Amino acid sequence: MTDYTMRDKSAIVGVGHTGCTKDAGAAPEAVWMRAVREALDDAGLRPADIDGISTPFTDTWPMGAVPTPFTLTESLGLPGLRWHAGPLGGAYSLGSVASAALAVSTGQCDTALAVHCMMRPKKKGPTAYNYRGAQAASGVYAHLAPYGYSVFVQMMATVTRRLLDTNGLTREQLGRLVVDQRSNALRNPLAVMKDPLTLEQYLDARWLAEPLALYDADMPVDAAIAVVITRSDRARDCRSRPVTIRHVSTFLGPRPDWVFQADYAELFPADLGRDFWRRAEIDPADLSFAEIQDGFSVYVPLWLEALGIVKRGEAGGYIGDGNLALGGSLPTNTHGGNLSEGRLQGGGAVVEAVRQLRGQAGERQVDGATTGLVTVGGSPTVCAALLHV
Amino acid sequence: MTRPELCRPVPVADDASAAYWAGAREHRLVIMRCGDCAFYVHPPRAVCPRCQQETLVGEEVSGRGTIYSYHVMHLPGVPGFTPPYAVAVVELAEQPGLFAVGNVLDCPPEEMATGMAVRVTFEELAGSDMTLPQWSREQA
Repeated sequence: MTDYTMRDKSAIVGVGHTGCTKDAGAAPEAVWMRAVREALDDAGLRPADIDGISTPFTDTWPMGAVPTPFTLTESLGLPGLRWHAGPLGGAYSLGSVASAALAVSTGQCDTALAVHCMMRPKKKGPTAYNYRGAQAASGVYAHLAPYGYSVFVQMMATVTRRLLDTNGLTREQLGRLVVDQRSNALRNPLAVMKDPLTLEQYLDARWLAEPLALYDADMPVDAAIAVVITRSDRARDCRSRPVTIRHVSTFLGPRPDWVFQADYAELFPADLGRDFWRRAEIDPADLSFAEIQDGFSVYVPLWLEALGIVKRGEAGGYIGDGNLALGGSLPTNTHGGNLSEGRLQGGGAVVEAVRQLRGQAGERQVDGATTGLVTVGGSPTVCAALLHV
Repeated sequence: MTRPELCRPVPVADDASAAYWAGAREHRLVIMRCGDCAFYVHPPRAVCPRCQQETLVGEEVSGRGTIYSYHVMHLPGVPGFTPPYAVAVVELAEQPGLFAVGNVLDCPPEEMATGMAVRVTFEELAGSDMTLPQWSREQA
């Protein structure tokens, strides 16, 4: 057997999640430290026990609401750190957990903290979009922005159109996914969305970029998560039940844009899946649940096919048959996902996976959950992790 | 309020894309092609991604293509555009997976369709010396 060095050598021993709101009414530092305090308390650890920090960005100063290793070191009053890094695979939340898992597994540090924080843009208007075409459009944007193609939702809409027209996907199937996730969110007190959603409401919603409508896009929120990762041999000394990190993988797509790539049905290439299961030494049929980051609804069918959970062209039918609902064959985004819990760029997915595996998921608990998949990535850089108890 | 006609982004030519934009100014669709391995590359770049040589040169192509995918933008705020408007990804006839982005100027958004045949046309970009390759429906 190949020695995959990181296998089961690290574990998640603490999680914190502020819950998602439209306005946390506090400064970003206050918000992310609420999650950090909860995660440390969950693990039964003190700030001085942390000797590594990973965050979605590693700049010296905070990137908006997102903390950096420096800002967290300050917030925690630490004299310094043995190890710090950005996210593996550029996958903000899970990527930060994954790079911490690698560091802990290879002796770079003993106990690492991974944190992600999102705050809604408080300014209204067109500048709130992630508009990328300047008045003078250069590089790849010279071939997009002059045609009115410059907002990320447009890329996802174009991908979705191709899948609808040629890959066996329907809007009703995407609607099933969104509606199922909303019912999960109603069982999750941390979720921002508190009202039920019907398929009719989904189908009647206003277009963002057709064929994507209002409920296909995730919900901006104020929220933070924090995760404590330590060596598996130390994990049993912590207060909580450890969740073991079996494997993490990243994948870099062929292009940074999702426009000029030759096959839209393989934005997350199938190689990612084959490699992931082989290295994790787990069969996808053994998953208890999956938490698949859903910045847009269409990520989920793309991920299901890329990971080989279903064959190419079959994700739509799989979703439409209700397999992803609680009680289905692969309960997915049991917390409501980014669509209905809130836009934490997969941060909520990480926390949910841990709580499911500990049996702490309340009304949405998957019975006997032992093995969970978490994926994060809504750009051609993605990260996947297999967690188990 | 923004004045759309003043805000539409203007493309900037660089070393790799000079031939492409010069061709457009002459109403020719010029796509970079590798002199060694004959692979077409778009958007333009400096090195052939198939054989890693600095052998890409601009070559006029047929200007025929089909709509690979498209979307209809409904959100306001994109400078120079008033929603709803459609943006197409056109697969050029010369090579599978060779894509160009544009607007099908003679096609209302509700008539856009994947697989529709289109032909290149050109649009002078107001207030600049740049010409954009654009698309029109292929006459049956």
